Amino acid sequence: MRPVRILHTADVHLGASAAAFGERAQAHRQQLRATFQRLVEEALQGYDLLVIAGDLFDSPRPAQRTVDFVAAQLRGLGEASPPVHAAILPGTHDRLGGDSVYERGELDSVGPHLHLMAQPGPQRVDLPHLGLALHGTPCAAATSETNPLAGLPLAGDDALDLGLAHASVGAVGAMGDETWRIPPGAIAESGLCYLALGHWHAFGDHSEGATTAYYSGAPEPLALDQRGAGSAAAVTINQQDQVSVEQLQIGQLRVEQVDIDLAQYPDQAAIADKLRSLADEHLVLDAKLHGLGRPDRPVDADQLQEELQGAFFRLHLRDESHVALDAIAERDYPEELVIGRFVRKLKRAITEAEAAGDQEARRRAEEALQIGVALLQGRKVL
Amino acid sequence: MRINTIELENFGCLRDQRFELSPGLNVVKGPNEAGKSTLQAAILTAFFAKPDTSDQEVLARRSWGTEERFRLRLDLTTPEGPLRLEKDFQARTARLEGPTQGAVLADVNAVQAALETDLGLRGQPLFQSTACFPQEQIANIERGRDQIAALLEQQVTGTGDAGRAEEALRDLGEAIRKLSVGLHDTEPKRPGPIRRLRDEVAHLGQELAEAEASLGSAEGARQSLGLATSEAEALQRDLAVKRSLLEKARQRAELERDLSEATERRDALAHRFEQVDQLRKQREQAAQRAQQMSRIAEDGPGALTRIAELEAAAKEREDEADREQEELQLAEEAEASAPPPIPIFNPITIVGLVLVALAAVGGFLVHSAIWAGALPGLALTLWGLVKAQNAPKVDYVQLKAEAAKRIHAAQQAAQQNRANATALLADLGCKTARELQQKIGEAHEAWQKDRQLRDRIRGLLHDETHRKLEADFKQARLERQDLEDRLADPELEGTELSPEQQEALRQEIARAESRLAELQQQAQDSRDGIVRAGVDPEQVSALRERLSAAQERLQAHERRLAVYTSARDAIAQARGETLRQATDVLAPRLGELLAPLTGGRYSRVGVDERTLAMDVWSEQKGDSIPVGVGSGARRQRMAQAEMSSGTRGQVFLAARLALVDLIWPDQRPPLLLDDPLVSFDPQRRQAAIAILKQYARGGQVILFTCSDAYDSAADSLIQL
Repeated sequence: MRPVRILHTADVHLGASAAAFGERAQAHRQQLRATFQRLVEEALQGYDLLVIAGDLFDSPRPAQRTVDFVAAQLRGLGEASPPVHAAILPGTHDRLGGDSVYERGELDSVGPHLHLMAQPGPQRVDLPHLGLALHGTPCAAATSETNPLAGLPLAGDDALDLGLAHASVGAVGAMGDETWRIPPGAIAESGLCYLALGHWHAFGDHSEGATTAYYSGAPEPLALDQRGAGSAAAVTINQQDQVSVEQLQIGQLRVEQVDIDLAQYPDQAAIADKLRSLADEHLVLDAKLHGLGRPDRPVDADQLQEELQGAFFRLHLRDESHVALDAIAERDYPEELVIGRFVRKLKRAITEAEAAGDQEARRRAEEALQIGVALLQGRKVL
Repeated sequence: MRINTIELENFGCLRDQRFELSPGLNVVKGPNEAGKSTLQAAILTAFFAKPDTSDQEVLARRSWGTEERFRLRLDLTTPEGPLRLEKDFQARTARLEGPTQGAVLADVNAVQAALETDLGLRGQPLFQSTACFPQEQIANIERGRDQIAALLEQQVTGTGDAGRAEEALRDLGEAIRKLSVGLHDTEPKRPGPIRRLRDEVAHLGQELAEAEASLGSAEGARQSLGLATSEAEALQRDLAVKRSLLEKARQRAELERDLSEATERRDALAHRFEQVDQLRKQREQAAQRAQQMSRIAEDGPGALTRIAELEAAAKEREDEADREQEELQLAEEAEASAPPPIPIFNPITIVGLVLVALAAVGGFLVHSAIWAGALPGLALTLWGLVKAQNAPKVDYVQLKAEAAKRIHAAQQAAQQNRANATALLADLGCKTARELQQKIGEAHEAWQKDRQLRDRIRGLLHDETHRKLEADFKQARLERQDLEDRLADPELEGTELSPEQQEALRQEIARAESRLAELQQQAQDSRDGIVRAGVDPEQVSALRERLSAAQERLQAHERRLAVYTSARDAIAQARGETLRQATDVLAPRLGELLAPLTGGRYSRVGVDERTLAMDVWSEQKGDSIPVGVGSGARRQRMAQAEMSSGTRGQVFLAARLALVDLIWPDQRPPLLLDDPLVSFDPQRRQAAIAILKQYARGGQVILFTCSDAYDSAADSLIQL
């Protein structure tokens, strides 16, 4: 009966409209589908069970074509010999609510190898051929104070108890939200052999006591700050009921952040060269321009973004730089000259905008200052 | 401030030179490529370049054939005292020594700050555009009328290359125009990026609104479908219950009707069966009796005849016996008169038999010889028998015996006949023939009754068998029991509905079916609505994302437009203010300087604060004459026609000097003039030299020329 191999994933968020991906959101959705397909293909490589610990879909009522895609993929698991079983726990995004994709029965036709844990409250799915009993409490609301491990009907026989939970782990406030939460110590007290966690998008070990518990991480990043995303968990339970977990790199996209201090680069071309050196079609680059730029060397972040976007899966360029007003020596710009008066006017506008807390006006004035100075010095910057 | 000495190492063609300058007008004279421009550049470099600069334009000034950079040393005189300035571009160091500093300044930036601030050099751009007079800019007045305005503006505002403010405004205006194309047109033919993006945003917004409306409609339809489906399911459940109740009520009624019929049939069959059964029992008795009487019926008449015959025979026998009795009586009477007969067992035969017996016993018991004693016995016996046999033949006894025998036989026969008759009667259960006769009548009646019962049974069985009737009865009973059991089914409990209740239930079902049809139609309409909507959440998301991206691009372009507009407005304002300030001071000073330069011909100059175009008042003409700067071809043609190039050069020289007064009212730096008077006539050149001498008084003017015209006026002449 054993060893049992389980592929654990969560937070696929199929159909997600990730604002951080801007114009590439559609491509990102396609990437999510491709990665889910890779997950299924991976599951067919000798795994006995695929568990999805919540948020397979990004919403309770995803597009029909997405549901059809998932159904087709999962159907493929049933066509294997022997069939690879799959268990899905509704998460906070694809939560139950009377009319969710799980309750509308749209996945019912997939086959008996698919186990939807879509009844409200703690529930159990027995897989006697694997010697396993699956337990989980599906999310029925976006937020809840419910401990999803409470009241699980453990097997109490030879079957190993394996849990699925879509929740945060730790004390209230640990992650700054009040959503589904497993309190400290609850994992150790659960009596589960393995707990497949979802909700946090980074792979992580949260084992307590005799219970091995892992977040698989999202298979692909959903936001620019999800550097830990991109993996699944390959779980093996050996004949001595010992659990081993291996992080499996499954995603294609990677997220990186780069800070570009304008003081380190003489001009926009040098910044472009720096960004170009990082180019990768699978890279989601969150680049931040910061520091103080020279007043006579304007950097057009929009232009850079437009110019370099194609070299990345997604380039998100934020300009948080400012003009080095202190570097503007008034002796270099005598008040009697047009450039001197111009510089003083714009410095005043920048100072006033800063005092008023109007960052947009400040940035606009800073750019106007840089462009004006450059033009008045005879450089073609437009 | 003035320069006393300047030492150059590895600087251009002046590889290792030292020049001494004096206060007042210094004329540096030499032919072309003698080093005038190099010396002028050396002074500017010493004043404004930092030794640690990476500016290749500056560093390129080193002498040819050496990799070593240059060094410059200047001895200066300032109001505060002498100063020594040293800039070593090889060592990248700067030093400024003098009493005003109190100590040696060795920091590059500190030295530069002291030069530009404390010593009043301001900055290189300003210095070069005012205190530094390149010859070609005066000559340019002749060569490029189109650039005059820009050149003058550059001279006045210090923006390096000619026309940068105006060029900046033009560039910004063009960029703004390109961005703004079509913003105010209803249907622009070739819209600019902002207009295109606004149109795209509007279009996508509308498309998104429609898609969201469709999605909302689809969602509404989905909800309606859900509600209709839920209500329909509830209604179907309710209908199923009601239909079931009605069906059960119908089944119950049918069962009750069937039960009633079955009961009737069972009762009818039971009645017939009981009748038949009773009749069968009666018939059985009747048959039994008939059976019992059957012998009487069958044998009775014959027996009766036989009995009559036996009675007759008995009578005859009795008559015979009577006759024999009479015969007997006659014999007895004869016997009474005849001897008695000797019997066989007379004493002789008896004694003989005893002897035989004794001999036999004695032979067995004593001795076989005794058996011989039996012989006498046998003889006696034989003798007795013979005697009896030989007695007389008229044997009355025999006669009487025979008579008695015949009587007896007759009597016996009569008795036998009577016994036979009695036996016949007894055999038939009768004692008397009359009884037999009566029983024969009874047997006939029994037979008749059996036939009647048989016919009645047949009539009740209707050509069926009794077994069939019994089976039918049992079947009817079972069927009824089955109906009773079915009626007793708990499923039918509480389903007793009156016809009125059933009718009311039928009406409820009809109403529910009607409502169900409506709901099914609603559900179908909702499904059609979902299909018609034709959008899914991902399509709406994609539209929203495209709209967001277009909005971002639009925002970036609008922001860029705002930035350009801010820059343009600020430059325009700065330019206006600068020019306004300059012209307020410039115009009267310019007039003061121009009058001696032109021999008093022109003394009033007007300066346009916006364009810096200058008009010189001509007393002779009684009108203003444009100097030739400013916009408009007509103005330029007028200037060309009405003012000589020399006069315009004098106007510009006056303008520069006026600007020097404007910028350095107290501490004037050395003025560097690169042969600016070449187009002046000798009289006006002398006037100009006189004015320059005035400016050199208390300060320093360094005039670079290849002409000898300034020799007489020079306080110091440096020949290159």
